Amino acid sequence: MTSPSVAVRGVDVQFGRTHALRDVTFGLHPGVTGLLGPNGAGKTTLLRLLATATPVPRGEILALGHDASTAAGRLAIRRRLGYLPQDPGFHRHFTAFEFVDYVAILKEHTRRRARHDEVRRVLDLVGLADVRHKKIKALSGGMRRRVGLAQALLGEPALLLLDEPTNGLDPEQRMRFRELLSDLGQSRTVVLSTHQTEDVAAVCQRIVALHKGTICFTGTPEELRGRAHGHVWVGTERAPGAWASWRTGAGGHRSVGATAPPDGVPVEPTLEDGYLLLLGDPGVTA
Amino acid sequence: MTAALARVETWRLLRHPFVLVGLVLSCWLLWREITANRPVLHFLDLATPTALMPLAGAALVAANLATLRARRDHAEDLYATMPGRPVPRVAAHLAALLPVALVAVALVAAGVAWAASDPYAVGTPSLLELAAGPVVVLLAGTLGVALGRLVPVPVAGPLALVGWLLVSMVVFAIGPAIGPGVLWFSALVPDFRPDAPPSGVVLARPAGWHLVYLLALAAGLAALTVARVGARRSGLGGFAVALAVVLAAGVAQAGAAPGSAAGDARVATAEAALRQNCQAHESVTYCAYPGFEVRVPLWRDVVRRVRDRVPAAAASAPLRVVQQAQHWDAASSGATGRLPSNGPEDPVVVPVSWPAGDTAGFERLRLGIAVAQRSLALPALGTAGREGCRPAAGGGVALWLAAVADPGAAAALRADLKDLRDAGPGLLYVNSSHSSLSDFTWGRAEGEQAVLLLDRPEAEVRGLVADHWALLAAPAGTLAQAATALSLPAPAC
Amino acid sequence: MLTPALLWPTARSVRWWPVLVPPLAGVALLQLVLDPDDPLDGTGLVRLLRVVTVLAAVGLAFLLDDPSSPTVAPVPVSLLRRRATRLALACPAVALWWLGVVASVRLWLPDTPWPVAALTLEAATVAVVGCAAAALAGRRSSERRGAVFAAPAVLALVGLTTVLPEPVALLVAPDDPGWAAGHVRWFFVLCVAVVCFLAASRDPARR
Repeated sequence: MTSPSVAVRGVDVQFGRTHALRDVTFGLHPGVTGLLGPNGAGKTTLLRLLATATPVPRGEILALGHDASTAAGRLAIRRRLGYLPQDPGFHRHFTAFEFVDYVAILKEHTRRRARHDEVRRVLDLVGLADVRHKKIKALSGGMRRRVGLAQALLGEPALLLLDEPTNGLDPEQRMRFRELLSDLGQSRTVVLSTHQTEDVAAVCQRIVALHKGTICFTGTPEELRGRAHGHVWVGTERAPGAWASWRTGAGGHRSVGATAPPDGVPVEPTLEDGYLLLLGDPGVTA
Repeated sequence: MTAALARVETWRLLRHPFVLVGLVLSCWLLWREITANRPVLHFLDLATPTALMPLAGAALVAANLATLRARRDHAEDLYATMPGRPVPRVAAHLAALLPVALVAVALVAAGVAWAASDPYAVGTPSLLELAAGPVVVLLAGTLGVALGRLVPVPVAGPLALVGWLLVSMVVFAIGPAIGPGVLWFSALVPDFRPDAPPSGVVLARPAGWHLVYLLALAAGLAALTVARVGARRSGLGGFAVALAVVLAAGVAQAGAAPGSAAGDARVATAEAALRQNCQAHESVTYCAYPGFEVRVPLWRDVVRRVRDRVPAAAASAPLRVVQQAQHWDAASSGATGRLPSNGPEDPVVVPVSWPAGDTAGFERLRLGIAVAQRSLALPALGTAGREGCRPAAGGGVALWLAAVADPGAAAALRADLKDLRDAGPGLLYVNSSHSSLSDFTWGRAEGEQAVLLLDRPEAEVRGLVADHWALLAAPAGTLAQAATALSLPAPAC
Repeated sequence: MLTPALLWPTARSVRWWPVLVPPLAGVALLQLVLDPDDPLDGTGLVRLLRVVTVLAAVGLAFLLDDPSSPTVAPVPVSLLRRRATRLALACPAVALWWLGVVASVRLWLPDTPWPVAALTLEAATVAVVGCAAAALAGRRSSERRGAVFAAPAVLALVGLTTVLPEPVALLVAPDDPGWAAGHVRWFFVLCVAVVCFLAASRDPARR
């Protein structure tokens, strides 16, 4: 196998007494990788490290062949990086075009005409061509999210880091976003941090799951789903000791856990079942 | 709901970094105010609002930030959907200021208690004046909350703080010209030295009216804020009432304040000696203002050390030691009004404030020199400021007498002499900044002679001084003659 | 160091009014207080000009606030360059403002001598302290609201200087023998503030 485009080795991050990441090691290859984990698992911290927004206190990150701990390495990474933070900030009195254009200048797109073409291209990609001359403060939450996405796509970055990109997008936009991602993932390394398993199931070739700062799973979506085989049932009652159980619209109880309910019928698991089981009882899936 | 919110806001405000820093600064200022001089408690109370200014400024900014918090974090929309309207939230921000004011009360109480424990502390503080400091803290915090609602931008808080200080500066600058009562429209007390005579007439701030004025200002701001966030009718009503009280109290304090006190103060200056209580010890009479009698031992100690080292005839000559009369001169914004005190027959004057700690040595040196000056019948000017080079013979010995038995005074003498040497040949005299008086104004020649004498055994110098006393005290004697008699090198002057 | 293409969008991205209102208020104050018929003495004038420069520093603390900072954190143009661009935009305005202050004083009080060079040093120092405080506060919290902490911090620092004991005093009166020594200390503070600004503007990802 070729060397990974991103290699994370022994990364450890602590904020005061909180251990945000513990000895995290993994590699990423071109394609879309889903970074899964519950709230507070350390996804945003990891993404900020990959984005060279915060220092790597311990361990090593090599991205696109460059070391993130050296100034030259960071500059090289930043030149080929696209990043959408979880909580992006905007100059609200700029128009969408002006803001993305501003970021483009910061990304060293200094030739005006080419830059404007590029800005129009990315705004088009995220479906904002019609509103590009509207001020950001006049845009809806979902549109602002897409402005953030547009700036991340500037310059066809080799490494694209997206933190909760589908938050606030309507179903149609989400579909378009998935299309876009699957196109981008053909040649680039895309990391998608989310806790929405549908997005991951739809577009990701690989999954890295984080739990309390440690990696609890790396593999394909199929492998994660496969871990729930034989642990998902539908019955008239809750399964005893089930990790998760809910009444479905059809009236039965869908249970995810180690023990079957009395009249339970095993069903085909989804990626979400595998993920739930992963968080709930690592012993089951080990 | 207001109480529960107020608890939350109180806790947040009390541990706000600005409030903590302001508290530390205020503690330090108050400590400096207390320890600089032997405390005069009825002046200390006037100094508390200034000492609490850092805490007040911090309360202003922190309360302003707390009020702006919801806006800053884009939570206003969320709060707008809550059943509680903004009035309880504003009330909670205002209520949270009370504990900060209580901290100020505790600070002032601790400071005054500590000052009162000084054995040479004088006077009784006015409770109304002491209350003014914490009320200033309350007023500043209320201004912060009000600005948060009336001008909801983060730059408003710091600007308001600078503006407040500026207004105070302007009031202090133009106030005296209009009338001294105008000074009290500022929440602060002008930067006065606490060495005025202990007369209520002299710095007669009508403390009660001033307190009402400050409280009404705070209440008016609070009412305006409440009106702004919804309770229009009651808020504006409250504001109107508060405004009326502010005006009434403002006029009352300006009218009652020393519009005539400048005149009174001048009378007080002239009559100062009459109003002091005098007590005789041996041939020395000590006169002090009522209450300041406890300080007589401090002065006696210095006088005795000098008089023990002069011949018996000089030591038994009558001497008067009186307290300086100064007053707050509204026209010049400073403490003025000195008794003529630079002739051999004039009484020796001690200032109303007596320094504590290291600086006390300078004051003892000055008093010791003044006593020695009377014993040696020295003219007021030594080498300093005197034309030609015929300084009086006893100048160096006067300095030696003041310093020889008092290590603090000796250190002060050496420090003053060092300043003189550093000042270079062009500058000849030092009028010690530690003293507001000018008795014997000595120069480098006397100082160098005194230091040489200090380096020799005391008994030997005492013998020489006794032998040559007639020369040293002779009006026609010169410093050069004294140098020869005392086996010292000739003075370079 | 500076990217010309950045100047205009950066100028537009700055919220100018909190930056400009305090120094302009200072100039307005000068016009109000300075009176040729009742001229201030040197000490009073120096005190007034110090207050005016503190006002300017409070404004400058708002210069570095950048709501887009989370988005533009990992761009090739470094944080220091982005901040330097903002400062470069403000520099001519600040210089003009100070010239205006000097001209106002000359105009209103033509006969009052005052130490222009020394006060320029003080003004520059207070301004850089304002920027350094904003840079530090931006680093500690978030660049979006550094000024909220920096502006009062500038006031707290100035408050501290008013109570400095004699050997390290900064607010020296012009007729004080310690005036020259005081300005050596001002220069030292200026250097420290510049170093603090640079240190606080290093790449946040540097270990």
